[in-house]
Amino acid sequence: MRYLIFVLTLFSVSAYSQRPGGYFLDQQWWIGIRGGLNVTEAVPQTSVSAFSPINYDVEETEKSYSSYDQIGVWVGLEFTYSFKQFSVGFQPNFRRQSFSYSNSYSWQNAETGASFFLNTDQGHDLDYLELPLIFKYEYKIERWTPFVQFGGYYGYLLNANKQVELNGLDEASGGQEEFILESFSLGATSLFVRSSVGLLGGIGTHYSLGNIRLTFDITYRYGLNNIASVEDRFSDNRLAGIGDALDDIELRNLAFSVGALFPLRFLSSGYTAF
Amino acid sequence: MKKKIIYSLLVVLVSLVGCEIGDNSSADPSESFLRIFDTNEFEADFTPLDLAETPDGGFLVLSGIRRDDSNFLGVHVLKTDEFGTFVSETVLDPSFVNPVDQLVEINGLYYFFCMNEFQEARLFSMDTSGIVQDPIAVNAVTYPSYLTASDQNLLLLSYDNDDKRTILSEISTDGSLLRSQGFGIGAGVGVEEPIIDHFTRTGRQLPFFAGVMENGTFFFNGFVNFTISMIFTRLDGAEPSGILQGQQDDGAMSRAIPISGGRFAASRFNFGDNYYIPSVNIEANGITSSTDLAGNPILELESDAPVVIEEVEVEGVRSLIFGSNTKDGQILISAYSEETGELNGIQFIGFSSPYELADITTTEDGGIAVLSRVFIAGRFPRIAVNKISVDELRVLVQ
Repeated sequence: MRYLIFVLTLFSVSAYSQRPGGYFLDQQWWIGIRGGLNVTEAVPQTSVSAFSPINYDVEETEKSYSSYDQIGVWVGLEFTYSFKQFSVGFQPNFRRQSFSYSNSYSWQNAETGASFFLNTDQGHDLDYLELPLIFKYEYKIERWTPFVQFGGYYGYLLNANKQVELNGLDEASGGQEEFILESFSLGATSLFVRSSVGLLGGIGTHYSLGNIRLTFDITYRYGLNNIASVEDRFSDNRLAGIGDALDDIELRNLAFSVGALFPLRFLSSGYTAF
Repeated sequence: MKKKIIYSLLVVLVSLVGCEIGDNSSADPSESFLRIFDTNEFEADFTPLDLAETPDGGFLVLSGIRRDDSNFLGVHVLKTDEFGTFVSETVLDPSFVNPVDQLVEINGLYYFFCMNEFQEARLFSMDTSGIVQDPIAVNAVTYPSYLTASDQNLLLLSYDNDDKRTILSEISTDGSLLRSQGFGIGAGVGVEEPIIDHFTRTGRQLPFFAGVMENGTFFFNGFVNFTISMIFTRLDGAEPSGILQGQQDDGAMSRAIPISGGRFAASRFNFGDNYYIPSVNIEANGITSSTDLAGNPILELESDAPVVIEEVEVEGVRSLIFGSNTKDGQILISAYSEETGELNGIQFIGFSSPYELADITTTEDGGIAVLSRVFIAGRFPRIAVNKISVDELRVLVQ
């Protein structure tokens, strides 16, 4: 890591000492660091519930998912080879993707009409080591180089955690009493499969600052596989005990990133430092 | 060379990813699930008793249901599909009450007993879809308490309130009484009180059970001569060949299933304590005492806990699954080697919502299904079925 910082520092110093543009050959290698924020949506493919209703609609057991409202962070490296206006990049990164859902149940007292409401709120933090391969088409306009990108990714789940809260409203015990029945966190890695694969696409731009490129982009990831483990969705006793089971879900993710890329080689013979 | 190594690693990586995702996609959700059968009625109160797997992979669940107009539980039958999802329910006419464990399958029909408003036993049968047929009266049998199979017939334990006798009867599936024998509970005021409390569920649930040994000897656990005792009989009118005595209703066997010959897998309770005995020779001839049977003390169980024992076979190895209720509202599933009697694994069911075990049954796919009562939010008693796959069971028993 110290070696990497040292190399990047050298490139940064050299970058500020060069005239912008015009000195590269048609092909170039870039190395850089990237990071940013992301928001996630979990899209249920098949609804699964431990509750099997006898006298109400099964739709009432379906979960209500939050969409893109929990911010995760990500940080990674970029290795890109560019040829004229095209480039292909490998951007290994560590990313946390978060999503949540809730369930609501109610019971009515036929005699008094009073009700008892129970809500379960469940947040999930999934930590992935992601290995995306990205193709870009760039169009240079002076210092700015807008680009479009597309590609695919493989994510390996390193860790998953879950936060659970059971709360509700009791109108049937002589008043209206809000309560928290249970609140706990637990490791939930076994509830998910390790692999997450998908497609990605996005737009962005480079800004040339000397020989380095500052890069900004927005990338949308479209998960292609069910990340919930079908075999193990009832395996955690603490969750099964309260009737929770993951749906079959695919992830959608919107990531905002900034980064800095440093050229590695193929400087033209016309290059002269300031 | 380097390229070959990189390409090879890529191929391996892609294969592994493909396998994992493919396996997840093709996993069968009917192998492992939990289902809680909920109704939004505040007062609904289910007491599951037994379940049986049907040829379509679904389950029939026999339960009692609390009624406002009776001291006894009403009769509720529920049908699920192979994923455990609710399909249908049947609530019997209010004149029928007190369904008893177990639900017995003979030749594709499922039999259970309850009683009418005069406490007379009534035999019901249903098909695999849970459609219940008209009741069959069984002469002179009252207060049914436990049902099991005896080859192609039914073996019913019951209580004769008039003559204060525990009755064991062999009954054909058409309701004919084939043979029967009574055993006095003992004379005196208050002797039958725990029995009546058991039926009305106003007191402790007594560990009634019955069965047939390999040699044709019948056995039952019931109230005989002031004591909960395990009685061995040929149902030939003679005195019992063997008696395993308890300590009134403070100590006795809580469950026993014959393994082979005179060997049983058993459990007992004694003044609140509970003991598992994976393998024991119970003397079917002579008088012995349950307190003389050694056993593994299971301290986490509730006082005088009900116990279910099921024999399973995974990859040719036979194991004994013991299930019971813990002090903190969980179900404890313990797996013992049938050969050595050693504990191989435990599993808990339930966490914040209390669970109570009703029954365990083996399933066609090699797994087991656990029937229980769960108190949703600590207050709504509902039926729950927890299906444990053969892979999960393998982890438990090995």
